[in-house]
Amino acid sequence: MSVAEFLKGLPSYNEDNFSKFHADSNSRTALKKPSVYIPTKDFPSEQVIVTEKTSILLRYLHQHWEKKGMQKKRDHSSVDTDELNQSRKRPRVDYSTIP
Amino acid sequence: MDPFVKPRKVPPQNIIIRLIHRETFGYKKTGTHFHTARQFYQNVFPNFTVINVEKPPCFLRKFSPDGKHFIAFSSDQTSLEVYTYRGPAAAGDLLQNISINNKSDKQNFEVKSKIFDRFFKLKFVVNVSQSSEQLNRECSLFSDDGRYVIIGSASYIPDDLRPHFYEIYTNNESVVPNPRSPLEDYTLHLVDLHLGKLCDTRQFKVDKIFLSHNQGLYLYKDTLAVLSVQHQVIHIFQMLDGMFVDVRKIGRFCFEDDSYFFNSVFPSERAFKEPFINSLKHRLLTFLYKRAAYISKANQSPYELRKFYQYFDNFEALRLWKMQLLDENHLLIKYASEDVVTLKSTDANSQYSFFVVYNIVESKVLAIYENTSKELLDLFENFCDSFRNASIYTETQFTCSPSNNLYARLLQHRFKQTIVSAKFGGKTEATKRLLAQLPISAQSYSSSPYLDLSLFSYDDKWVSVMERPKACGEHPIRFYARDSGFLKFRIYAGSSARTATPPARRLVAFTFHPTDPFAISVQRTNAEYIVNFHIRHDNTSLENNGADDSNVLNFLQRWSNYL
Repeated sequence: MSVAEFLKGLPSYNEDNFSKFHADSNSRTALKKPSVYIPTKDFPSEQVIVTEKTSILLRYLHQHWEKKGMQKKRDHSSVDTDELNQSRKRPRVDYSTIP
Repeated sequence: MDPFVKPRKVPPQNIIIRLIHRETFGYKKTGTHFHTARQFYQNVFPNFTVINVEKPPCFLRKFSPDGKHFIAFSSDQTSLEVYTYRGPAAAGDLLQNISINNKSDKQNFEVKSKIFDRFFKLKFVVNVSQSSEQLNRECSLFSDDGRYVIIGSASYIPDDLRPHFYEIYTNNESVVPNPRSPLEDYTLHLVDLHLGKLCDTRQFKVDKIFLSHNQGLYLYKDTLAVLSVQHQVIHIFQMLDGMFVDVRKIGRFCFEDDSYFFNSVFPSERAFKEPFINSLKHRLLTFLYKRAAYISKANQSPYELRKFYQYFDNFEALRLWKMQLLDENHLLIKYASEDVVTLKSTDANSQYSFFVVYNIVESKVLAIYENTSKELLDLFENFCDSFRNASIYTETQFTCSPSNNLYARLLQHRFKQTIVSAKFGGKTEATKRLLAQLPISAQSYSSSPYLDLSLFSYDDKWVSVMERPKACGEHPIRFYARDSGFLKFRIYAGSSARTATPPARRLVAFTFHPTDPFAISVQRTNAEYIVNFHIRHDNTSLENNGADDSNVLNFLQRWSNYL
């Protein structure tokens, strides 16, 4: 058997190999058409999956940067309220007035 | 043997069975179709080496990303030679009657002298530079579509034409040139590979740009960044219809209109004499100050802020050393001391350096890391492909890296552990050594499936995905199939003649085709270059008639189109 004969017909494009295949051709179930659910209403999908353009590395760095920025703002606001309530600095004792 | 331990079942290696499996089952898991297709490379591989190939008088460079063209530099380094690659089976008829045991000198000579012309057809010779300027043999950047290539040339400035003081020191960040690494005039050339013409050039006079291995320039899609080390400026260009379009310069100023605004206030100010801190450095210092102030406030201790003031002069003395684009709008910049940048310091890796992530459009610093930062190392290990920009060319051509390949990750982990447990090693030293790879030069990784560690196992001491010259071993490089552990093929890079040069001193550079079973190895021995071709050759028995042989070759050629 030559190499040419051995490799003949590969890959197979013969659709009869696939379209006329039945698991059990004798049984009656093969003749029955299976019931198929056909939706009549069109429900818009709740989630649309899109590919993020920016790389995961840059997303991480931006989130990190924004998180820091938010923390700084929060800290500034808390400091301001502290200062309104009471000054964080203690008044310096003037030792010259002490006898 | 333990009855409960079953030996691992070796999957079928036969190409016919694999084809039937693919036809029947397709790919088993979603998103693995590329990997399923790439498995066939374990059946079709470069199994034949032609040693000491006769080539035209030129310096071989690399394949275009689509694999259709091959570029080389002329022997005088003034022209670019563009070759058409004719496919992996182009020399089939030449090697038809060659058997491995054949010792016919006449036949061997014929193969060596003709094989280059079989694989490569000269398409264009594009003269790009004058005789005074020489093209850098290790500098080339291809556009995504493989149509354009950017190459760089440099020429020494003669002593009788010594540049003016203010040409050397264009701003207050300019570095003091090192006589061991003198300043040069540089030109970047944009060449159209389809038409074989020089489309555009950009000149950088009295400068220092690291062209070798594309260190000083980076191409991301159509955005080109060029780092002028001497003038401490990053030039941003856009490639548009075969032209370089000036976008901005980052350094002394960060926004396009900064220069106009500044000159309206200080019209006659010499940039070198400016007392101000340059814009990019100012962003860096501001970020460091804000971070120190924030930590000091959080800890209610002035220690961090005092430390910032203590090292302020060191921060101000930092200079741009290397850079890369992370995308069109982000730069990863490496800063180091002036001695490191000007190559005065020999051991650069032991010195301190800083990595800055900079947003070009908004002109803001996103992050700063030291070269001992564990956080940056984690980012590098987990998002390695984002640093390499591995997937921007084509989905099917991907390089294996520690972030997408288990075996590459294991190799890196072993390398790290070796440094940690070494005599003067440790975790900090390991971090420094690994982060020394950053920023990664553009287009310096091969996408060849034969270097994919999930398909083949090989010793990365002799060959690796990073296209850099390696030490030349005495023995062939063995490639084992990852799924079966069987030895699939060997690549012999050495020369046939026994040379006086010890093997440790010999270097070999591999150039793999991005998709085909074809590789070129160039070995430098003293002053001469030895070129070997590693090709696919089906050594069918000579008893069969010629028709059968051609059928097998045709089948393989047809098959390679599906890969």
